Amino acid sequence: MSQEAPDELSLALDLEAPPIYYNKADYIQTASGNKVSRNSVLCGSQNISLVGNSVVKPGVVLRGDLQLLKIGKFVIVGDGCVLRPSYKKYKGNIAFFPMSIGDYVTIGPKSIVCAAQIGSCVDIGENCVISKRCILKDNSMILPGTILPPDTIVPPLTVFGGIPGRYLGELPESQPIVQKEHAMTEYRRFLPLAKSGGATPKASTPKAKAAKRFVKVTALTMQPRRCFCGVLVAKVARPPPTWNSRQEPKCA
Amino acid sequence: MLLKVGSTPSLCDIHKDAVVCQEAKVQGAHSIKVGEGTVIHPACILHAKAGPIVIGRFNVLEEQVEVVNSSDQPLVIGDHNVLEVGARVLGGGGPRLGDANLLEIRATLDEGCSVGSGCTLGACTSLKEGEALGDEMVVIGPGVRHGEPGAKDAHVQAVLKYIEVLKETLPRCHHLRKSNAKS
Repeated sequence: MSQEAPDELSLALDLEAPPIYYNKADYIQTASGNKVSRNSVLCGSQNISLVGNSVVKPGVVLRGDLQLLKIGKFVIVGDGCVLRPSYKKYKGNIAFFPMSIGDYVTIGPKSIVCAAQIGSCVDIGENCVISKRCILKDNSMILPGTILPPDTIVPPLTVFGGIPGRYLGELPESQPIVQKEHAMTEYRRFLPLAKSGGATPKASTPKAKAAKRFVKVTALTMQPRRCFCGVLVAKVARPPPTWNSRQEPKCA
Repeated sequence: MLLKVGSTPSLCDIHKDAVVCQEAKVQGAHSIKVGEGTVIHPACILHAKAGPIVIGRFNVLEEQVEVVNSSDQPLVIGDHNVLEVGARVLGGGGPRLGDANLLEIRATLDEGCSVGSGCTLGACTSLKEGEALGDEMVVIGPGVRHGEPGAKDAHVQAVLKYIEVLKETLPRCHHLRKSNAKS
């Protein structure tokens, strides 16, 4: 009882969401802080770039084989999502568009995203369908269960929802800060289990070995990109200036 | 190449011009036939649970597509169909999908339903049990449908172009599944 009491209190105050623990053996963690599930399907990993601190959950399909897939930092991709670049018939030929996703984007479980562009601080709910060539501008929000028709453009600071997805309302200007915080807490609460006892016996099975090889391959392919994004990552690593630290130089 | 997926090695008859990715899950005790020019993306599930599956020529089956045959009759899919991400064809056998149909994202064909030719099933729509759709129809939502004459030819043209591109791009990043049926 004594242990439960503080939990209830923090829940009531909504201070911090409870952490989600995952088995360390089920995820690959890269140097830039990406956590990619081993049960996800990454096609054409040389065309997928994750800047850092992203979480890719199990069952996710990332299609880098069709076109370039650029994903920013602090992007949370929920279970069973599909991210695939879209195509368009252009002068009789079919051309695939590279897909770019900004920073601090959260995508709910079981959503299918075929958008051409997703800005920063975008919140996509669960079970959404973002059809071909949609463009989601910065700080927009897609409610759960929405189906956006092809070629939809979602303006900044708006809410879209329903079947088919329509404009439903506007968001306050604080939305980028709220969404940024939301994405960062989602990343922070996603923690490895302290003990990973099941990891060592598993390693002997051929499947685990194959997975290990897969890690090596992805690590190799991600190497140059990590260097390329080193500047960005370094920026992220520094804690944002707090109110106090900003004040200090003035006082001195 | 030896085919080993799941517990039971399925009898796979894949045409030499078909593109079937290694990551696609082909399972079940019965035979699966894939026709000429068909493209099957990774993470697509073909499950011949109780009977064989026959997929015609020039189809595209994208990721998370589920084709399950739970009856002993062969489940037949025609030619020039596009099954987009998460589309499902479930249940019994018989000719379920005609030619030149477009099943958009997460469209579902339940048991006993069949679709004619040149139809479009909109995103997240489903045909409930026993429904049979005619030719060149468009389903937008539950009970909302209209005819679209000439859709069949347009679909065929679009599919052929799409397959042409996919045939070039997919083998670059994926290992392809080869047939192991002796024919």
